[in-house]
Amino acid sequence: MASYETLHLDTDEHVILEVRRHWIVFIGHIISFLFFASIPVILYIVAHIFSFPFIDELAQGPLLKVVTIVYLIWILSFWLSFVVTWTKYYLDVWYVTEKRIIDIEQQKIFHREVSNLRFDKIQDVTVEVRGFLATWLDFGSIKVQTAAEDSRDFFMTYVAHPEQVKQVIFAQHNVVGDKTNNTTDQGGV
Amino acid sequence: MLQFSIKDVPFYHLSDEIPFLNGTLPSLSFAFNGDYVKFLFLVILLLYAIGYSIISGIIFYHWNTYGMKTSVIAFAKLLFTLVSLGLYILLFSLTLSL
Repeated sequence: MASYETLHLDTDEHVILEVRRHWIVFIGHIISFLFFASIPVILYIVAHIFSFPFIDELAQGPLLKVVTIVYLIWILSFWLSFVVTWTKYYLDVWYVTEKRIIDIEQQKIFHREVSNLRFDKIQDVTVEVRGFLATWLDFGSIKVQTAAEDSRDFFMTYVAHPEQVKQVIFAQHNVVGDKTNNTTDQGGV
Repeated sequence: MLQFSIKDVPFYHLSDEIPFLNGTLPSLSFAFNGDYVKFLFLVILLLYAIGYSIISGIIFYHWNTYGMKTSVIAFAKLLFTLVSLGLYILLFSLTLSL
């Protein structure tokens, strides 16, 4: 069960939706991780194919252990960098609650920006799904425009299921709008 | 115990073919003494492990503080710990067997 203490939500406020980038953005990182992890193996195979003179000594001699140690350190470094990248990906998120959208931008591991946008300030939500892959895998960019001059627009690219996100935001926007109208009407009577 | 000889150095034999080296590489044999290599690798590994632990600590701090205690974060913690431990056990056992 997730706990949202660090968001400092009101007592009657709950997280309805978490919006993250689509997993496709992570494929590039996985490919580069696998590529860099396999570079020493590729070099070894190339050296073997071209029968470099040291390759037999390397494969059979005591140097093999040393080379394996260096290779394991290499793998550990890329594993750590992969986890740091995943952490930045996972912690870069929008939380949609009954009252607002909380935008957390994890730009670097020590660079984190948190912004709030209340539903009564939202003017429009634009979704853009461009290209075959984006249509097929259902991801795109989403932009939440604000009516207030002093607050910036919220924008996220490669969002998973952007139309669903838009629907949730609109639905919640309408609920908040209805509540505000009812309160105004009652106040007027 | 690792029995290194200067002959194990890649390209060593090339020094036979380079006239001015006369089949010798200048004073490198001490560097390939087994105990020296083991000690050197252990020091490097220790320094590396300290750096790795600091970055891991930062990652765990972020997971604990901003991860909202989700099951994904719990799984990430488990996977990261298991993979890191496995690789370190392999690394240290290989280094100690030098």
